[in-house]
Amino acid sequence: MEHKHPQPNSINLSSATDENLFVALKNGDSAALSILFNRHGRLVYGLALKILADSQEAEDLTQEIFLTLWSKASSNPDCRFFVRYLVTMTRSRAIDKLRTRTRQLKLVEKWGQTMTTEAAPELTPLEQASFAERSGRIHNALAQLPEKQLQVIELAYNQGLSQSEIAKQIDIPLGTVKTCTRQGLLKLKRILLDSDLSIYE
Amino acid sequence: MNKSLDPEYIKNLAAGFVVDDLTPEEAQEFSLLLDEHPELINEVDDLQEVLRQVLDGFTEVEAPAHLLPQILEQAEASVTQPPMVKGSSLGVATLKPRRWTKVAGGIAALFMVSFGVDNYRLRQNLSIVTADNQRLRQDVVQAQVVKTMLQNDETRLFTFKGVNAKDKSSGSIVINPEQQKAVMVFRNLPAPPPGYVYLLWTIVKSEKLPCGEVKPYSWGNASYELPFTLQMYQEFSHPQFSGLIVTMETDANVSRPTGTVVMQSSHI
Repeated sequence: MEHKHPQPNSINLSSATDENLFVALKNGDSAALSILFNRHGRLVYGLALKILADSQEAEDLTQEIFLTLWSKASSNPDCRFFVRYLVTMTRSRAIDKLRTRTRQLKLVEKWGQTMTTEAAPELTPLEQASFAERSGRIHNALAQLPEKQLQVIELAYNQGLSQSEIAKQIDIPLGTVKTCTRQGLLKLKRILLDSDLSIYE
Repeated sequence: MNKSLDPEYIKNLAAGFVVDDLTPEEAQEFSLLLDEHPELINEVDDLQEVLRQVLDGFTEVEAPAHLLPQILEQAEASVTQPPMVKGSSLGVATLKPRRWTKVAGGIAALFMVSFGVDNYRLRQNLSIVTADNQRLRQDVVQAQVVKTMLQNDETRLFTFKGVNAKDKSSGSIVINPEQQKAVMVFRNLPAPPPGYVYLLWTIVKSEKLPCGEVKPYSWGNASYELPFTLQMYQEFSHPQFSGLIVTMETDANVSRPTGTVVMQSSHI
């Protein structure tokens, strides 16, 4: 495959949809990779950091995700729903890494060792303000969910737990975790997207 | 009421699809529903946007600024170099060493952890090399198939080129109806946009007859052995066979072309 350099198409690509950027990626255009990172790098890194609680590992995983997008784009069948694809891939790989690390930690503990968790990097005042705004909106929406739906969504996406871990932690069947997650997402859609529409009314 | 047509049930499946917790049966059912009801795409897009907003609200940090240049550097390097050799899981270097700074003693256990990490990365590198080898092996096998076919005087060659003047795609089909072998080799053929497929058609008695989907293992420059049926081979030998076209379609099963012609045979 012939790969293009980022400069020539950057202007046209910056307004392209994720779907079109993914097609450009399939055709070896690294400018598309750059734009996809600027759009979704924060989401991938943030989610990886939530689950792994280690900034270096989160950086490594973010690189891995975007380089996989790049190297496997031509053989990747479908990225029609790009955010879903990124979230699914990030969660699944981060949880795998966590399991690997847990196995290694157990080995360390066996030899009488301990490790300390790295502190999260401090935010700049601008980042703090931006986070407070986004966070406030989401927390208002979450507060309108029934308790179980709120719990499963918070545990899945703010604490990075897998569905089976959530079932164990709050002591409900796995099927209930699934139902609550789906119903919670549908209710959040009504709350968040309806409130978006009401701005224009 | 049929469960599959219940709007609440469909919404529930759409939500399960977005959070990736559908059972294999549900996934299959939802995939069919998406094909039959393209309007569902909007529902999935909306739910995906909600998931993005939720994650955005939970995310307190920005991706470090140095990550993008590193990713681009490695992506560019992977184009010009074989993609493993160095240290990371994707076969490229520059990932900073892990900060195992606070491990409290115990050199023997540290060695075991390091060994575990290296082993994990080696296994990941190995899977990438294996995939690349597989691709190279496919190229070699295709080249050998074409070479053998060209040594046979029953083999025929059809060349293609893009119909658009700006389109630089081109290719050939090497076919031997006696041996029932057909290989398509192409250059600069971009991947079809999401939701589209390329279909190949023979033109016999001015009728366009389906010859299946053009679906190689990679796009750009590649070769692809066409899974023709006996009927398709016979069409190539038909006295009123007059050419070939490749169209871009939304449905892989259409019985006659409805989409844009992207390539056509330039010489019979």
